[in-house]
Amino acid sequence: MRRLRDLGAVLTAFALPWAAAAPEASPERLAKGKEAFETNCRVCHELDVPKSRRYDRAGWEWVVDDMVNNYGATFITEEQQKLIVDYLAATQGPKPGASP
Amino acid sequence: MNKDRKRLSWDRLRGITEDSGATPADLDRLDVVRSRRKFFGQASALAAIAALGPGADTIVRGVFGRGLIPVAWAQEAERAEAGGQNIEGKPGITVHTTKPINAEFPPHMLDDDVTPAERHFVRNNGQVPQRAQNQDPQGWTLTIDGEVQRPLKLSLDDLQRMPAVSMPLLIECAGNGRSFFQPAARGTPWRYGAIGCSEWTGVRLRDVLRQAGLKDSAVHTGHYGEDPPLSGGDEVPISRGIPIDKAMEEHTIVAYRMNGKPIAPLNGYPVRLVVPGWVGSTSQKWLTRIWVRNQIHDGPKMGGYSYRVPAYPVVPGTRPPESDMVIVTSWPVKSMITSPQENSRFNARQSFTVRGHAWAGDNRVDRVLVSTDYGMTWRETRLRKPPNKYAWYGWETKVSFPQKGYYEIWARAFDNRGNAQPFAAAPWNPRGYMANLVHRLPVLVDIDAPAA
Repeated sequence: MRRLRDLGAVLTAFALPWAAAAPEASPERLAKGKEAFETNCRVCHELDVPKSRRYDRAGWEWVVDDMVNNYGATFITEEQQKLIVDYLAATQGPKPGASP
Repeated sequence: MNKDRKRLSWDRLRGITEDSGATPADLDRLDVVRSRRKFFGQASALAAIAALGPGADTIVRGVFGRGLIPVAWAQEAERAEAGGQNIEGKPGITVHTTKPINAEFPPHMLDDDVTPAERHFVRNNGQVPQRAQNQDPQGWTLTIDGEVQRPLKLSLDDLQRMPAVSMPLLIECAGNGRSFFQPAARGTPWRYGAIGCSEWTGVRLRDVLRQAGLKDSAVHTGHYGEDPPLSGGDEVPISRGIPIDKAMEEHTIVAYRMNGKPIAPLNGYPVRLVVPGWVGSTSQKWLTRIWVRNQIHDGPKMGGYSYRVPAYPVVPGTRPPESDMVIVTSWPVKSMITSPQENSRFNARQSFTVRGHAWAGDNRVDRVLVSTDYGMTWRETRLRKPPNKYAWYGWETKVSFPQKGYYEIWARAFDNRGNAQPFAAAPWNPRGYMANLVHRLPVLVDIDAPAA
């Protein structure tokens, strides 16, 4: 199952150049990502907004980029953006089969 | 055959599913359901499949082969992940997010012809204004400016002195049904309930615009509300607009009453626009200004990927350039089943009423068909005309099932131009707008009728 999903991720990354394939983030990096996510994202909205969503890495990259460039979250540094994307891609990845 | 059905284990079901070309996502879903099969009680999911009778395998294969997974299984997996939240004045609402507030009702709670204020969905882009929270109209004004001969500033009293109309009118969020897109589209994962048809009282927008006197250069409106942005700064959370033709249409109103009472705080108190049949974001809440434009309005959420879809069908999961995106306007034909409730239980041969609503944006609803066998056969329903073209139609029919089993009731509406609802959320678009897929409602027939 996991193998199939990973294959899907690889294929997606191959088909969509903007969806860069990234190696699995380390536990330390995810802990930093969690902290960056919880401090920065809550400045404007509740964390239930991202937590009610599940996207692939490219989806989360789009969201974070949009928040920084179109929704005024310019206080999030580039390094923090990467940490947040890693964290969300790892914890809020695509649902095993979205509801019909 | 019989023996075969008895051995329809989860593994076998999974095998059938895989053989019939199910996607990895489908298989994952099956695994999730397998681990959380509360709907059927302990170990009875397979009994439900087997109860479909001779040819169960074929049906299951047919269903999964088209990428259609029994709705109840998926819902159950979904619910296990959902938390419970409450909103004052909206008992029973399903809360997606709390800041901003985004919340909807399950279909069976939207059964009324006229949606009670307590059951009207909430979709916010910013925070709820203080004036609405206090329900105090003091100091509120509506400005009409831009491409007009006489800019206006109207108080609530001024508005209420103008000729009023009252009509049930549909407001439906552009993202209603977004959760059915695959892969997931970005935004609040609405199911069926980001829609309401309350009775709105107010002044026709065209009367207001005529009083201001439109210049020949007027082509579009730009709407502004007083909802503060989430960040607490001074940016505008959302400002959308409509072409002048739609603004001058007789059902487009500046509303100050909802079901005969002041508009509920979360639904736009004291005044909002109601642009029925079009995506809900055009119906600006907490309205304070209408800027008449000499071009298509370019306020926040008029451009980029907001409330816009690709001008041509795209590969699901891909994003075309912004220049290929076009603004969404009228909803396409759609229907929902409001009775019975999802996951209701019935006896075999028990006859019951299936009913719901249908609507078609700027078009008319022609007919609504219902299927109880995954779309293999369809029956007509009795369609009731609405009081105006932008209220929803009622429809109903009687249904019974010959024997026990898991069933789904499907509803499919057709409009007067020959359009019908698709069987999947399509065409896919990056923000998941305009999902008008066939409504699939799971029911369980778990008691066989006594022999006649």
